Amino acid sequence: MREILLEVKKLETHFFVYEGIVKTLNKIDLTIYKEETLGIVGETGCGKSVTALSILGLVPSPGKIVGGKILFEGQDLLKKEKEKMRKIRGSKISMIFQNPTSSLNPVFTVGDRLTAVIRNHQKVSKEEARKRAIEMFKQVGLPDPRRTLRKYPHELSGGMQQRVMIAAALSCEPSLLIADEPTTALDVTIQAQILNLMEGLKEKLKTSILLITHNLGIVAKICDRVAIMYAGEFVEEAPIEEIFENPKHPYSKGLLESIPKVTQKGKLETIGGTVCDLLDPPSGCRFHARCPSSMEICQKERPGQAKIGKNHFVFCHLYNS
Amino acid sequence: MSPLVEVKNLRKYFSVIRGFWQRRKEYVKAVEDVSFSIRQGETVGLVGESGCGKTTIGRTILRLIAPTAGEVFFKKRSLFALGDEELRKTRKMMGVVFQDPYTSLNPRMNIQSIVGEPLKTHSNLKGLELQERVIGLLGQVGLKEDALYRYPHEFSGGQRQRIGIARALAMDPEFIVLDEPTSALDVSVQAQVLNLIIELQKKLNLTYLFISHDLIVVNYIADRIMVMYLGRIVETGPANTIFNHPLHPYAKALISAVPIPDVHQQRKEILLQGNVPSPINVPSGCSFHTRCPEIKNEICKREVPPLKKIDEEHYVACHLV
Repeated sequence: MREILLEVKKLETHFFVYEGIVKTLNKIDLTIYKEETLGIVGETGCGKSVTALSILGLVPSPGKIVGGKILFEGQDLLKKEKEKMRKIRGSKISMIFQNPTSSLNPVFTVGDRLTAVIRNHQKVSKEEARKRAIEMFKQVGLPDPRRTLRKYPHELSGGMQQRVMIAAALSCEPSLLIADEPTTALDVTIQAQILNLMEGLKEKLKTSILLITHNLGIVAKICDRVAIMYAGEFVEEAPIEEIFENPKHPYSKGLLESIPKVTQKGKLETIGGTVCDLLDPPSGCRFHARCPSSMEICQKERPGQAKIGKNHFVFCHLYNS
Repeated sequence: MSPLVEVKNLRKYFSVIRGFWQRRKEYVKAVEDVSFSIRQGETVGLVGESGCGKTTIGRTILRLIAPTAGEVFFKKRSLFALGDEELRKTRKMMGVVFQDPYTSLNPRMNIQSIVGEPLKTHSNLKGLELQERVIGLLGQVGLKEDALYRYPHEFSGGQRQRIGIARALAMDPEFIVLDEPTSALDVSVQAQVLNLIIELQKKLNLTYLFISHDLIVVNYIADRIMVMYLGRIVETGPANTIFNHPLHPYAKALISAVPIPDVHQQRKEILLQGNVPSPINVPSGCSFHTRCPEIKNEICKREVPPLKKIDEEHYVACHLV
């Protein structure tokens, strides 16, 4: 049995806005094992990023975690004090964001950024931190690390900026790296470079990766397991071969069928209707209004977890019997 | 079949002023010596990474920006030689759909005035007649009559893109430039919009220039694909040929880098080194020679490779082929 690194239990994150309460995460459960890459897939606004921010304790106002547990290496992160959370962020769990240009401070050099991260979490001298920064830059494949250290973010291209972000995120050898759409802002050839780099470093540093994306191609390429999210809930969780060959949940099926195929050119299948309003989510299964095989019970009860195969779970009444 | 649109040796340079006291004048060579033609009723896909000149080509063809040199023939008439009155008449036959449905619709105009604007400019329709035509157009793209007096912010991304398409269809055009029409949309919504685009083409006998960086989408929708690198077309041919058997080293790398949403069809990617050079200082000879993994000859550094015919409709610009 693989060791569990992070366990999210019945997590609820709500946003308290003028119009009411947006129930962004509705009692979700999630497990990440050691040294695996887990992909979270879903459409805009389904709560992927909020899940990541909740784990890090960075939910922006007016959002609040109202219930649940986040167990990391056996300890509940939600019970940690602010100071202790700060120590964990960046050293044990770190994150890279979608847009590298806006997540680097333009008035500091990228070297400053990296040494700051290192010195925040480890008691080392300036000189030592600089040496480690150079070492990290070499590992992420930045050319001429000594000179790059003195550069400002605007002097680097998008791909190089993302490499700096990865270097900063991995400089303290975290056990979990959360990557929120790390390549969405990049071109495909650069995307391939970055994904390759992340895979290589994951092997080397034995880090688990939580990859948030809407691109199922990327999932097929680098993930071990995938969790599909719809309107603040997980609908299916499975190893990647399973999800592509044997998707069970009607939403997963619809999502996979709506991607243009490489080999055949027929009409694309679409999912009818639009994503529900999280201010006033439908009762029962949140997908029931758009579901082609909706039953009476779907409107009343939230489906429980049904086991399909090894590590393959689905939340749908069709399989609950 | 005779070509509907013919582009000959098109060039577009943008001047940038640089240096101390702004004394140095340099040029961004966005489009460099591009020739191609589009036949009636076909869909041509234009792909490349950001900054390679895709959008500039699309806009110059419509004479939305003036070219530096070269000619564009629309129905055998030179577009750049037309006077104002004639240009307006010709423009009726051309439409455009922009990338971002959030910024390409005026937030202070309601849907009736957005879709009706081209009708007011080009025809004498007024009052009820105009309204009926707008309702007809909205019906074609799958929107209901109640949309008439609503404003863009009341619609989702997919619906806004439909409004953009309705506007492009207003004058019964023959040729539409689709500039990344689905890249701001989620996959399930993208599928709906792609289906609509294909359906309209069949019904109205439209000709498309489909600009995108998403090769999977382009492969799905286009009959022919043109691959661009730094302002030049490096390879062009039937979609299947380009996607499955590209010849140009850049096209090979680009296509191999696309993550394919299927576990069994993963390809071995060719990783390119470094970044795209600046379009201000385009490398001499073949502009790809600085990153080309297959470079052997000195000739690549000296001479610009011409487009060579490989097969019916399949052209490649490379010294090695």
